[in-house]
Amino acid sequence: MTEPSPFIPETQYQIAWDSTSLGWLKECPRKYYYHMIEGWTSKHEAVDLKFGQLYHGALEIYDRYLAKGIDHDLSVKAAVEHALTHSWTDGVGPWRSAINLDPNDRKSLKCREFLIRSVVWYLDRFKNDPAKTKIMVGGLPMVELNFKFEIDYEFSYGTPYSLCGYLDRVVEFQGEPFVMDRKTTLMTLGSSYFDNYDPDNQMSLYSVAARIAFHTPVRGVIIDAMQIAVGFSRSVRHFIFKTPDQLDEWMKDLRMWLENARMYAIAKHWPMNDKSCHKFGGCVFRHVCSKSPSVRDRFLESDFVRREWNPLIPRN
Amino acid sequence: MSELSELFARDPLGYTDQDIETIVKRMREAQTQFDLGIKVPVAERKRKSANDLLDKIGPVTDDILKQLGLEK
Repeated sequence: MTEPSPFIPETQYQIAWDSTSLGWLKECPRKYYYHMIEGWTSKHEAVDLKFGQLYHGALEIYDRYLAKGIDHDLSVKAAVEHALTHSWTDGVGPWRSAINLDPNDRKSLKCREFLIRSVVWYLDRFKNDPAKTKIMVGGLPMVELNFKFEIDYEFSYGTPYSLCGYLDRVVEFQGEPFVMDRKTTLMTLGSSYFDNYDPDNQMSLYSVAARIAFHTPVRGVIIDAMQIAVGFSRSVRHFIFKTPDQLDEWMKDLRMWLENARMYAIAKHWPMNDKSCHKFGGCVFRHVCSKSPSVRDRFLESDFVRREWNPLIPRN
Repeated sequence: MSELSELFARDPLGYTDQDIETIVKRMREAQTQFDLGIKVPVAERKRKSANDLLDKIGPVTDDILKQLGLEK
């Protein structure tokens, strides 16, 4: 079966957008072009992504068990078992076992053992969490919610743009609905970390999605961040509030961004935002863009592989 | 190899309920100890090699020797 495409066939016109692809466009159109249209991605394993997936997967299991009425301890065990099983490959062994990683590399903190420690410490800390998973009509918990909805803006007559993605969880906290997003980081969890998320493309898109796709007018997003260090895993909860006016403004801005993307696609030219190269920990394409245009393809071929990012393919 | 390391080295498909229970228990003990100000490693990590440390302190030592007029 053919996979659905986020693009209009045979063109560079993307009509289904998730927060990742939209984020690339906003950061730098050239970065968007390399990732989204050409499909280039780093040859190295995306450790942060994989660690995040395992962590989210475990917490999702916990949330689902708890929503079924299973007690905390059994749900924690199920979450841990899930993380251990999914971080093991037959014939290969464990994923990122601490003993195999170079301790001089900070990324070595994202190892299997610290993953399990983070899961247990997080779940125990929020054992009696006042943020409760909302239950949908029909009884299913609002956990790992896939969404795709058309927006009130068309690429051309009869071809509306759509937004898609996943919400980790929708919760009720002190009588108010919120999207909950869990993150893992090596950064210290202070204002310099959380300021990155307000304003932020992902947080606004999630708030809009809850409102439109799930008819849940959330007050904003709760970020449960987990810092992973050598001797500890530390979680901090942070609230980001979004008013309806702010979300309307974000949607208005979105139209302009989509128009920009259309203009770049028509021109077949995706300009470099050279004020963005060193932000966000440094763009992966920085060393490619710093070369003369005539030799860039060679650097892409040697340092990257093609792995298409398709926001329309459901996770697992 | 510690009990925890041994468990982490095994294929999880062969785990018993008790094995999972032990892993969770050890993680909780580490948290309790951490809350008391005691760091309990939950993973065996590679030691930083002496060469890595020499790479870091080497230039500093060279500077000091230079200032003392004892450069190599």
